[in-house]
Amino acid sequence: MPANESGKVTELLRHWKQGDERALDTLLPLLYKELRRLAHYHLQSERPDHTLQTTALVHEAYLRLVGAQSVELQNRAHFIAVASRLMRQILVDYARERRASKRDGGCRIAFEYLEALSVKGDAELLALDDALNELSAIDERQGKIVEMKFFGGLSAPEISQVLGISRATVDRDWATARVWLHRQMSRTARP
Amino acid sequence: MSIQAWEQVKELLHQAMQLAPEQRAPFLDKACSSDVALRAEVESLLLAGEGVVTTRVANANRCRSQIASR
Repeated sequence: MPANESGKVTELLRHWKQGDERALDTLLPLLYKELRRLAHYHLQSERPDHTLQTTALVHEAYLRLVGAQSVELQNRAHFIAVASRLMRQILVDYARERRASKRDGGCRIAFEYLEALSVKGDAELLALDDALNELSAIDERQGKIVEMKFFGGLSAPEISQVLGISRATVDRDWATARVWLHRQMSRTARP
Repeated sequence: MSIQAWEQVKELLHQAMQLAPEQRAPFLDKACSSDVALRAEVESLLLAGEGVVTTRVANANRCRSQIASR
C-alpha cells in the first residue's frame, strides 16, 4: 500500500466521522478490495485444520490502509466497524461460491466471543449469517453490535463509542443477542 | 417476532439473567403475570443461555485436560 493511499484513507475516515457520507462511498471500495485480497490470500492456504482469524484480517487491513502512525483511536474504531460489515460479506460470498461449485467444507472460522457456537464450515457460516439477518430485522442495533464483535473484534467500549450508546446498553444487547443467536442456530442445526 | 415484542422479551431476559437461577421463576411470575407466550419465550432463551455457559465450561475443561495429559 503506497504511503499516499494510506494518507487518503485516514483523510476519508476523518471526513466521514465529521458527517460527510460521501467520504464513506469513496472509502468502501478501497477497503473492500483490500479485505477481499487479504481474505482470499488466507483462504487459499486452506488446510483441513486451518482456522481463519477474521479479526486478525480486519486488523491487518487497518494497518495496511491506515498505517500504524498516530491515528486517533476513534478513527480506528470507526474503521473496524465498517470493515467488520465488509468482512462478513466477503466470507459469506466466499461460502456461497464454494457451495455453488459443490465443494465441501470451507475453513473453520475463529470468532472471538463465539465459543459456544461452532462455525466449522460454509454451512455454519451461512446459518450464522441468516440468524444475524433475522436478529437485525427485529433489532438493528443488536445486529450491528454482534457484527462488530464477531467480525471485527471490537471491544464493548469501542462499540459504545462508535454507536454513541452507553456501555451498559452494549453489554445488555450483547448478552441477550448471543443467547438469541445460540437458540436460533441450534434450531436450524436440527434436521 | 415483532420489534416491540423483542424489546419486551429482551428486557425481561436481561433482568432474569442477572438473577440466581432459583430467583428467576418468582421474577417471571410477577413480570409476565398471565402472558404465557411471553414467559415461554423468555424461559426458552434462558435455557439457551445455560447452553452457552455449559459449552464454555466444557471447552475450558477440555482445554485443561488436554494440557494435563501432555
